[in-house]
Amino acid sequence: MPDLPACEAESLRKAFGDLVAVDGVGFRIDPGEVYGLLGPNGAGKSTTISMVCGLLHRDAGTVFVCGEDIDAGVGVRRHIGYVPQEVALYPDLSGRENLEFWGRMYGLSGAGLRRKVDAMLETVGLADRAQDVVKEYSGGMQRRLNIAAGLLHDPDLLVLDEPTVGVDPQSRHSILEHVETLNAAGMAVLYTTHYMEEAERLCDRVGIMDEGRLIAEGTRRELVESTGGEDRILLTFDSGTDLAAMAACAAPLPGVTGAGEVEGGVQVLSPDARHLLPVLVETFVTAGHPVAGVEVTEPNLETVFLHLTGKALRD
Amino acid sequence: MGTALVVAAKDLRQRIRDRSLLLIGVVAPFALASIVGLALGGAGDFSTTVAFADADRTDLTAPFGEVLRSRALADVVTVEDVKDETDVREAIESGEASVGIVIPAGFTRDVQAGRPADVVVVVDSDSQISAALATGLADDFVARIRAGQVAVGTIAALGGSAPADAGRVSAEAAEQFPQVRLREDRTTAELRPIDYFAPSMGIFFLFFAILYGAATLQAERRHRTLARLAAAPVTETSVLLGKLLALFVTGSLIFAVIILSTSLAYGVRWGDPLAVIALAGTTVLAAMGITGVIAVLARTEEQVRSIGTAIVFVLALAGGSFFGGQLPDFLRSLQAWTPNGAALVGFTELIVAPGGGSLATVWPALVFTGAVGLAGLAITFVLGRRAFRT
Ligand SMILES: Nc1ncnc2c1ncn2[C@@H]1O[C@H](COP(=O)(O)OP(=O)(O)OP(=O)(O)O)[C@@H](O)[C@H]1O
Ligand SMILES: [Mg+2]
Repeated sequence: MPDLPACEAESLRKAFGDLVAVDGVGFRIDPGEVYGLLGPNGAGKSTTISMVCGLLHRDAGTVFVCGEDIDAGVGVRRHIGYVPQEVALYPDLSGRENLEFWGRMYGLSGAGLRRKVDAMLETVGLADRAQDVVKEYSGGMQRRLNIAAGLLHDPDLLVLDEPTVGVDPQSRHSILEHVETLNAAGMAVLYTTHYMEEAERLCDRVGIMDEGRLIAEGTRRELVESTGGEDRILLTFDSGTDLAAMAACAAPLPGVTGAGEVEGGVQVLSPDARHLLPVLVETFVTAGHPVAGVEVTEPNLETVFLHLTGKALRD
Repeated sequence: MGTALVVAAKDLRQRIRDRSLLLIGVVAPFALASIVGLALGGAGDFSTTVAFADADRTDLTAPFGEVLRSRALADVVTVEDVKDETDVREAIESGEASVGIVIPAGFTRDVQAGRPADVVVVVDSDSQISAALATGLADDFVARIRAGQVAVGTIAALGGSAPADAGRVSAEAAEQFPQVRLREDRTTAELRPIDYFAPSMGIFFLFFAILYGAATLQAERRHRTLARLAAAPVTETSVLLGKLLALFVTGSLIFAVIILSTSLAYGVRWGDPLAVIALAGTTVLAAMGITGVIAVLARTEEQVRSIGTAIVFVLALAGGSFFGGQLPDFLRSLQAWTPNGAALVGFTELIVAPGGGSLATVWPALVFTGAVGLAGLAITFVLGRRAFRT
């Protein structure tokens, strides 16, 4: 079914009592696409994902996976490989026993199951610890096994809920690499994170979530451009400097699209901070007001989020 | 069904790995039944006193008395000579003897006249080994007489018949020869303590083991595997079914162990196998139903265990598990209204029933425990399914 979208969610809504955790979220993931849900803690990412995977009753909305309604029967879930945010394994069973159990839950059995489990243990680097019970694994090892358990049945859509939280940089790198490999082989991926860098690195398209709503969606480039796509330069001066005068001084320079006084300094907007910066510094020095500090922020999803919500992505 | 079996196998594997189950389900009930049962004076000794009444006193019967008193049996058998069957019964009732053998008056006359004649063995309910011994000795005695009489009878019969008839004649003769008739008289109305505590501790710890098993419903939530199961292409029904199947197997194994261990170690005669299996089955169901409801109503594993433990204790108290058959009056009526108490009454009735009883002996307990079990399981199912997708 190469032409059907891997996932099509529309108008998802879920309230817990008075709290509306997800409010009218919808998106579409094409086959082979990596779609990211980016948002701060409590934005509603996990709740959205739970509805997509059919493990949470929706208050409203529809979900189609590979063209099939998620409500059509339990069989539809076979298209999905779900990796929960937190490790969901049996601590008193070995790594192998865990994988065999989850493989069976997804309809694998016999020699096929064994082959798949062996291969997956190899892939996540746990082949030599396969006989040990999971509670003896390190956190990173548990997370890798957690991902492996969702991949045994070769899903069409891999759903990963913040798989790198609490993982050391090395494991994190290998997880990201693994996702890239799977995607290169054609697997569609729904990836949630509150790490801007991960979304930028992995995702073909990103949906930005905040307080239960999808507030923007597009490729990184589209999102950046939608908010002006400009670098921000923050200049600070010795105390007592007339910041308004400094801003007025910078505004007419070529390459400056905006300049103004902000808390603690002067903010200058420009499509190209790299070329503008030497000119700016020289201008102020010439005017007798040496610059005390410079901070350049290139446009990224972080600034997009800041722009859209007025707050930082991470607390 | 495949899914249920996979889930059941997984759960059983986890239970086996959990040493506490071995302790709660296997070691504890046997140990406690032993301690309490034996402390209150329980299992029969191996040497036995036989009340012997030779009411006939002839040359034919005398050798039997001699065999009983022989050196070969001296270690095992102490003979108490009494007058007749009435005295034999008295001796057993008073506890002086645990088994009795009666050769009735007129025995020799009947044998010689070719009429049926009986040797009567009277046994006490707790004295299986003694009974077997006495029956064996009596059998041996009768066999000797029969051997002699067959020869005599055959020769006598051949005197007037064709040789072709010899077989028929000797068969006819043999039919009239003395037989050992075992009268399994329950001379004591009360159970031995071990007979009470074997089922009582078995049921008590069964409830505990099942409670701990049922708590795994909550463990699936704590380990977040419940979410993963909910996302898998399997129905909630089959997952729940698998978990309940594992509980049932666990409970049945626990019962099998307590039955086998107490019957081997202390000669507890549990009674009619079919009735025992049926009642054990419904008792396990009742334990599953009650603990299942606790498990789905509680919010955490800890709650299941603490609330469940309290409930199991209250049930055990009300059900008379700790009273060794001498229930205070106010409990006697309460007992029948707890499923564990009803099961306990059922099991003890099977143990005391002549010939081990039958399904008919325990039908009230079967119906009650079965109904409690099914009702509890129905609630467990409805609420448990809902817990999947919150
Ligand atoms: N079962 C629940 N009952 C009540 N409230 C819930 C439940 N699950 C989630 N919420 C609330 O819904 C909101 C969204 O939660 P959700 O877990 O979807 O956020 P998230 O984006 O995944 O956050 P995080 O990055 O911390 O994982 C939060 O305010 C959370 O407290
Ligand atoms: Mg989350």
